[in-house]
Amino acid sequence: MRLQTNHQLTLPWVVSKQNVIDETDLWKDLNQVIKHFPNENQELLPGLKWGFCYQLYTPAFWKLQYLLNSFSVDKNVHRISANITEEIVLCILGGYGIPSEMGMMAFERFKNEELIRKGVSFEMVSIALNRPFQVGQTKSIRYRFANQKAKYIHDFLNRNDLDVIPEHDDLSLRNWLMTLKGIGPKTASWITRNWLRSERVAILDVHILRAGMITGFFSRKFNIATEYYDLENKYLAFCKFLEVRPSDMDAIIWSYMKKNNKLALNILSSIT
Amino acid sequence: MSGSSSDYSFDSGPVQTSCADIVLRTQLASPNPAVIAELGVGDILTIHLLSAVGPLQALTADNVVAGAILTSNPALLINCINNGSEFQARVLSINGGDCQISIYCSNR
Repeated sequence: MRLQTNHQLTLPWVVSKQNVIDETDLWKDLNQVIKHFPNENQELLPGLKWGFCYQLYTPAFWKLQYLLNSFSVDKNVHRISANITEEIVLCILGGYGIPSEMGMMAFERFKNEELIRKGVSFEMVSIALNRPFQVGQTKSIRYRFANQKAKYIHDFLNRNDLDVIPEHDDLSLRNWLMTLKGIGPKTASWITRNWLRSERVAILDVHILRAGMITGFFSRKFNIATEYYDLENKYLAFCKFLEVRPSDMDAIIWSYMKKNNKLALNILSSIT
Repeated sequence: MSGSSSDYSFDSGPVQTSCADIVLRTQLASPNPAVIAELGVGDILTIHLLSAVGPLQALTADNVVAGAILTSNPALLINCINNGSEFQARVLSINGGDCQISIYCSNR
């Protein structure tokens, strides 16, 4: 999951009792940096101008967000789990069609019930995933696609090569992950970025795709199924010219887009 | 991972302070020197959203743009404005070409 981890150095807003957000000191530090941003009409990429940093979703805006939300240099900064096996299970649970909060609840149940182990039975995995999850005091929800995800997790945990997962190289790991049932390029990239802090993959989920279309580093019409790697190259090029780490920029874009999901949808509907 | 709306109702929008209670101290970006030269501490500017993606602008009483709003989270104010809140800004200080302001909800 793209959670905000303890490794991220987040913007320390000063909020007083009257809900005052004081950014005056922030800009004292960053004014000189912002003044050296390229002119708003300068092209970052052919056809894509830098824009103003104070305008939503321009390249300059994302550069500013990158500067405001820096991550530590720790290679493990995006890891969520204790080991690669858990990370894979977590990402399968949080994959397509599942909100991150739901995926995390399911993962916590799997950990608590010690289901993330070699040779686990399908029955145990299926029972755990099909039981309702409690949300708040009164609400109970069910995990979507429970039987299908249970099968993927069972198949993964019953492979005979779990002791030789190629963690030495990011693209080798991604290629191996894509041999797992239920894992396509997005989830494989997600695991690879998390576990190895890979700067050579892109996690093209709905939030990154929307950001790409609004900002302009993706075209507004594409087929994610057939154009994944082409879009990935565009995202990586965007990061290269913005001079940001793709791994961190993804987390920052994802977080901002998710928090402002409705606003992004409204903007997207007005431009497409 | 889906971020779109779902049966789980997790994507209910940003958790934030009530729009009416927001007070944001920040500065103008791209200040118009001629306009700033005519401003004084305590003057009131109106916050205007130019388009769905901004920028947020600070306008004088004569509807002249004094500058844009520089903030780390423009979506905070944009969401509030889209939901009917109106904002003004009080000039806190002017130092050379820099103008610091305090933004608050004006129709609470």
